Amino acid sequence: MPSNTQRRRTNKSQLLDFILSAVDAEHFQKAPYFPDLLRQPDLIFVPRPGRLTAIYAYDLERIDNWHDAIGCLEDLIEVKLALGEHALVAAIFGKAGVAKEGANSEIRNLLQNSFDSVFWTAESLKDPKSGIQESLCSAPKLSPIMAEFLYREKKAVFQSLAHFEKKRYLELVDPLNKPREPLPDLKRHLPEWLGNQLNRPIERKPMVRNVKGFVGSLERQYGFDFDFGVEGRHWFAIDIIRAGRYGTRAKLRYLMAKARLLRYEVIDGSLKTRQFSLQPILVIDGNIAGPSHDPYRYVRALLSVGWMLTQPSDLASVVEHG
Amino acid sequence: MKTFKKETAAILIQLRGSLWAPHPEVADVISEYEHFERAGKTPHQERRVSLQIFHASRAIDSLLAHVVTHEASKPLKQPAPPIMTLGSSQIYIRDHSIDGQQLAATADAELTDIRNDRNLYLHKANLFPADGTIQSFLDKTIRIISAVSNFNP
Repeated sequence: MPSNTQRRRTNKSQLLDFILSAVDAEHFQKAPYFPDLLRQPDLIFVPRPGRLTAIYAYDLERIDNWHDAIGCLEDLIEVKLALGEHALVAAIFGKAGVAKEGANSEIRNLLQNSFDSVFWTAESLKDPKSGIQESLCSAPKLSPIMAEFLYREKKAVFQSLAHFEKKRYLELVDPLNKPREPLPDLKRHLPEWLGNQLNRPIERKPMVRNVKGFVGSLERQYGFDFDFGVEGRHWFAIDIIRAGRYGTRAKLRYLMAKARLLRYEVIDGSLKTRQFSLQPILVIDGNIAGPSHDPYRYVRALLSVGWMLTQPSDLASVVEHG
Repeated sequence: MKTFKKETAAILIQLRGSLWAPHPEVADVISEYEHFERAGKTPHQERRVSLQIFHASRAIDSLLAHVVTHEASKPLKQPAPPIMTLGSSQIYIRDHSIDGQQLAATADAELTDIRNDRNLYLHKANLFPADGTIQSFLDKTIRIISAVSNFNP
């Protein structure tokens, strides 16, 4: 009996083979490798020279909460920034996937309004009326809001790494630096400790408004909550994670999009850089080392979207002098 | 033996799908990376890495030289450097930009790394890069090609 994972791989592989048989692809690569993407597309192909299509097959994955949906949004942003806005990015969701109604309909709308092309089930893709060639090989259909968001992100990423210094993050890329404390304990005592160190009030679970609703053309406005916040040279919004050499990429995908969506605010119906001085800080218990030939990969990624990074022991100093 | 198939395939598909792909000079760059891909099948380690460095260097040199020459040919643009090298292309992009865009600081630093690695292994006798060096070289190359592909021709 094949295991669930084997069955999933076979289903995905069959789906990608079907796509390749249905479109005119001059060149293609399954499971490609682009070093800066936290999640690789499942398939990338060239319909004709000068045009690219990247496909994320989330088939059989359950995308029914904001955390996962924001991870998908991050995939889209990263691949657009890496390959260029001329790349068409499509997502295929599975039958276990995204509900049409109720609270989940906004999740569905975010995905529908962000990706260039969306198929809600693999079956819908196989339907002869689906127009697969048109959906996957034409020019991308980015909304003007998403195009503006990507343009601003490109500029912001460009600027945020201008003063990157490896030596400041040595501890965070040391694979031997293991997490030391259970996360609930750290989340309980670190705010107290910081409040005592700085002699300042700590706000627990602050909610900060983001531009997800605007970028995704949703009906509501949304916010992200943080573990705690404190006043300093900026208003610091602080999250804590436990991380090791392996298995942190899913967390990082979410955190990347979280910071991107907090960089801006909506003024007079258009996207502007946030006026209010907000600085997100990510406290990392453990390490976020990349592969041995590129240990700073994830440090660079998080810095590029605006996080300040620190270990628990350095938090007070970062808030005071950061 | 590491053949870097995925990395090479990523470079090739990125170039073939980039807005620069229709330019004949970029077709030559693609051919050079195809040579790089075939070099991966050379069984002898030192010969293999020597060929890989040789092809990868020619490819990235030629890509940047084309991007710079193309930009310099536009009206009212700064003329291209008299001798096109990886370094002179890098300086041109840094000083004059391509269609108003430059390389990010990290990409610029990685291009310097590529240049230094290339110079070291092409000019020093009996010195060969380890697979890790080639891996790092290719990762940086993918990022540079990504950045260059994002420039508007």
